[in-house]
Amino acid sequence: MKKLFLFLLLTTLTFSSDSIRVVSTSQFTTEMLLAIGAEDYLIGTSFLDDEILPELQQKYNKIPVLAAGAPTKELFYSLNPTFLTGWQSIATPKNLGTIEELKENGVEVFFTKSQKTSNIDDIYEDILYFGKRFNLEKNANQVVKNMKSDIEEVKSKNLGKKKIKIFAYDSQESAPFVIGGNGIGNTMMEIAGAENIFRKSSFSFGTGSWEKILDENPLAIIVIDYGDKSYESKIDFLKNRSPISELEAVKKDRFIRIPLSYLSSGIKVSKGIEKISEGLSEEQK
Amino acid sequence: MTLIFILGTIAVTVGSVSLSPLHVWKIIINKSLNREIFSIEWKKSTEMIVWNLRVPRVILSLLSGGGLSLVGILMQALTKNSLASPYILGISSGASTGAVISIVLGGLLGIGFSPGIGAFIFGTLTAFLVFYLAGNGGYSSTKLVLIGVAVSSLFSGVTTFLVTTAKNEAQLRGAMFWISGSLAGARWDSLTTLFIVLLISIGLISLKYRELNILIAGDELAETLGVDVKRLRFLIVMVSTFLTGFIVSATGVIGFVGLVIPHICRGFVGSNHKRLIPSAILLGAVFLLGTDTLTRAVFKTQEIPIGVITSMLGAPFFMSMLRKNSYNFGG
Repeated sequence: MKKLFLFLLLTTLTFSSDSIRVVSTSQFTTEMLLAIGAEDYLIGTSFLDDEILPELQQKYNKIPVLAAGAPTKELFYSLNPTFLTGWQSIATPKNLGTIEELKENGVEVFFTKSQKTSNIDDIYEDILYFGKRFNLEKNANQVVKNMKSDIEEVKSKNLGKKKIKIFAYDSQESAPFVIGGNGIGNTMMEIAGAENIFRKSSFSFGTGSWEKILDENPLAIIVIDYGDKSYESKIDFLKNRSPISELEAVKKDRFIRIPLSYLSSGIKVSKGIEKISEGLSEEQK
Repeated sequence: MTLIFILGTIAVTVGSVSLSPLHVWKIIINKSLNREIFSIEWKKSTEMIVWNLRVPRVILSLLSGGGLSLVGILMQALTKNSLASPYILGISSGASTGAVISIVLGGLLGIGFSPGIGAFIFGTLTAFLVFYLAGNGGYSSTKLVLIGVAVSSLFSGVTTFLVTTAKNEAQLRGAMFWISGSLAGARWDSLTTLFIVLLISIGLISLKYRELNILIAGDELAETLGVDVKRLRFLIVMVSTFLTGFIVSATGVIGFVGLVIPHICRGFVGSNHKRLIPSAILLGAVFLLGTDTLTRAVFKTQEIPIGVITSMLGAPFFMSMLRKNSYNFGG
């Protein structure tokens, strides 16, 4: 009897906060929520850039995918959502409506601070906010702690080492689309022990120039992997048809493959930094 | 010619990396003769920048600027309408649809077929479509322009549809680059074909300058004066279609050059095609080279599509010209 009572009490407690119905319209917020164990609140996701972090895949599979990009307003409201998070661009009249409109319809809106800054501390803050909001503070703290220690490890490894000149190639052939100085990607490169040759550009992602790359002669190249243009086809272009095919870094295959989702402001940032740093350390040999 | 030489040198020296003009010419001479006449006193990267990027770009800007102006003249002569240009007649927007289709389809089917080929095929088809639809009962200028506008909006609708349904950011950006033309994609291998096509076009049209002068005075008068109007029209349509197709496939859509340059030249040298054709080709070439150089000098690290700049410069100029009513045509 006592056991049954306890069981009932526990289940009511667990499901009492079930009234929060979350839609997450970006991979990075989805991963943050899954990482802190908020999967039971998630009623839909969208905007998957590439593979979910392997250890979160099982949790992710149980959540309905609403659309590849922005879900329609109708579909969104048909799910009775009470909480929206994800890309900030989702709260526009063309997508799910303005923040005011969403609030009027009873939807709480939270956009991560870190998607607008290039600061890793903001990511921690966002994760901790989710932890607080969903009563999962302990988990959130643990996630942040792990990220911090991963990053510290990379930092201590690079202490006193010379920065290696690199750039990050996203796509495009006539002029390269690259990571600039204003975004998390640049911060990650710096922590990993590299110097982005486009760090002085004000964009986070933008069109750079082949000239600049030829002139700076980077030691390694990050190749961002996503979408339906394969990593191999990008390498093939850089090696055989690009204006930089004669650079040492290209000739000697000094490429570092980074999936796009590792460059968004989320829990994968620390793993992304590790990947870049590993790629660089191979160059240092 | 001197102007092109000086401007060309400036164009190769400025950009995100500034180079010495002396080195530039030494590199060009070495490279074009494929021998080491001047000892190499520059970085390997300087050589790559000059020879693989800037020189092809300068040549492409000269070729496409000249070519677009020539097409402008031809279309204006054909339609006796000063509004005619590949841009207004919808050929450019057809070509950009072709480019975008190949980007989106290429991504879909996982095969990389070049946007340039798509642009060329669609540009040519659109040109034939427009001329076919308008050709019924003589090329009435109003009819041609109206059909051009209709076809143009049809294709921009298709392009917008494709762009909004594009699967990812990279496709979208790739498409944007075609819609607003750019010279950044200049490579040696694509220049030769364009050069030959332009040379043949200029040759063919220069032989016909007298007939073009007569054509402007009216079809009937031309026929009484012994001009085979049908054949002349066919030639004009063929030359301008192929030329536009090849240019758009190399650069994307660059607006207003074909419209504005012939007007300016008429102001300087009059409407006789004997002088109009060479002067418009030269001015067009210099104009595009100048605009591109200026853009590269101002936006050093970022690539701004040249089509954006030519439209921003060309449209106000055209408006002020219309307002002053200072343009004359065929007079």
